[in-house]
Amino acid sequence: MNSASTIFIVIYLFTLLSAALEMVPISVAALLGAFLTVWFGLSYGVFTYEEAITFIDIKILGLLIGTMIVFEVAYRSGLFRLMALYAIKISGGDPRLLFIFVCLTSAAVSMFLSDSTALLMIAAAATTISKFMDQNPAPYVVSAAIMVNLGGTSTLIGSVSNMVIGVNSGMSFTEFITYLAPCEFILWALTMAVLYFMYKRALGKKKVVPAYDPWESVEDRSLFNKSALLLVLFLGLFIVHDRLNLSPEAVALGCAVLALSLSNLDPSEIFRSLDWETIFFLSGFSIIVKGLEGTGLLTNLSQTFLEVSGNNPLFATVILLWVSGLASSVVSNIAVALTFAPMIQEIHGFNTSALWSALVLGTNLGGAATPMSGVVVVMAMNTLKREGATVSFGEFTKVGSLTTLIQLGFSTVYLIFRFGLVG
Amino acid sequence: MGRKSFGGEIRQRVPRIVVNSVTALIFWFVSLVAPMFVAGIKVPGVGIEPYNDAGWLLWAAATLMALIFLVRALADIIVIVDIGVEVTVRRLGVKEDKPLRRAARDLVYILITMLFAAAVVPFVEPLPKIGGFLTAAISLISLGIFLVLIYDMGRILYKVLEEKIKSLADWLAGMAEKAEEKPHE
Repeated sequence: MNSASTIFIVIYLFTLLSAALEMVPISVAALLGAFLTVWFGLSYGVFTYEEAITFIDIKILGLLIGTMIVFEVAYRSGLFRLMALYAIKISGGDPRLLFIFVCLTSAAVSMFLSDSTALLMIAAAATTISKFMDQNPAPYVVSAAIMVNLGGTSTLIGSVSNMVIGVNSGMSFTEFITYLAPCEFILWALTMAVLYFMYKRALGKKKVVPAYDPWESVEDRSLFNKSALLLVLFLGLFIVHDRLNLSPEAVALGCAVLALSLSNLDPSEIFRSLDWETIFFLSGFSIIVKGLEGTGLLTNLSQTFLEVSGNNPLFATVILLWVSGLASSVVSNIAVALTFAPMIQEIHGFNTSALWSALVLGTNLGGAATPMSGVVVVMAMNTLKREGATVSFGEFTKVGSLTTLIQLGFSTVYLIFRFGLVG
Repeated sequence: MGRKSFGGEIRQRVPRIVVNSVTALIFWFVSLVAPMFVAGIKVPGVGIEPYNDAGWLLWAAATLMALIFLVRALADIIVIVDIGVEVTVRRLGVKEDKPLRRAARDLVYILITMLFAAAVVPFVEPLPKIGGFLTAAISLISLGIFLVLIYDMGRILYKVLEEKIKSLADWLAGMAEKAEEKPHE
């Protein structure tokens, strides 16, 4: 290993550790790491300045920003609030039904919204529900965080790590769903069952819900209708984008422009609401990973990975699933996806669909194992703190790590059978 | 933490370190010189060669005493180094109290020091006359910081391990006590 490789590994570790220890915000850690990568890359002659400029993947950023704009407009139209309010109404005050609705709504909403926005919305609904039911909000909010993390595992736009994997693998929106949707829906059921059994006693008794019209929450019907139509168009275009020879980022950016033009909302407000922390983290970390790639280190790692797995697709897939899952429970899953994607691209000789699917599952499922695993869990813990219902690190870890282990365990079985890795 | 101030510890321990070190040195000197004067004298009652030689016995006794005083001095030195490292590490900016987070922060500071040294050296090295001196100084300072931080990490991890083993021992002792009490019930 030469000096440049050592330096890039040090930068990579420094970025991950300083972000994980919250010494600086994750975006700042990534930008600092990116700056150091460019600095040392130029001084050691690993790449030129012109090459460094191309390190930020415009395709991933386009897909991310476009999707964020489309769903921000839909969020402002009251579409997702309406879904949550209907869920409460239909439950009729039955705590078991409410619990199931909170879980299902969390997972369903996070298929489209960013995890943090989905959690904010569901946590607000969940705390309202728990107040109404005179119950501790912890079971609802903790379950919502775990389900939000799980939701969207099977869609290309379900999480930022999925977007990174989608763009790097070239998997289409429909391929994503074909490979992963059956697994995701079974995981929903499994996780809900585990959460229900863990919190069964804390849910309390049935209470009558006062009559209300969920549509009252929709302030602008015209915006609501436009947003609903636009979402249908957005999802429809994603389903057929490969047949229309359109790239995912073109669909996302096209629909974003359409959403901004039709909604009559102030674009500056929409832009302000975007998750810039994630956008900058993604940009910075892409540069850090490209620096590592430039030294040939990731190629060596992918060769070592293949040697360790004995060039066996079964072992390679299972190792990747668990390594990425456990890594994502400690560091950002975007970082894990960005690191492993170029490694999988280097693997030739057998069908890599199973590996890409394993990476999708690993990076998504590891995000709610402990309170340190992801921003969604941190937000859930903060919400509970504000409500005066603190959940300790150990209490969350008990629930989070159990559900994560069950999810990873089931995913292992699913991948083996789905991709015929045995025999 | 129930620990005296750095100044108080120095006042109490430095004289002990000096006394113990000097005594250890004296015994070491005795172990080198004294056996020569009694070499060849057989100690009655000890029949095993070479342990019945008065020179060997004197050497062994003096060395043992030197080691005892050296260990006593080292125990005090470790406490002083511990406090010194604590003060230095806090001055460097690591103020975390949770042990594992603190160890991780130490690691981040090691990485920062490495990156800083690697970034600065290429600019300093070509400077005429002082380039070589500055490069050596940067390397030595970095090495010093590494050592302090690595020592701090090791110390923290040792404490964590010690606590875990202690709680495991307590748990085992509790189990054993319960098992002991059962037959009497």
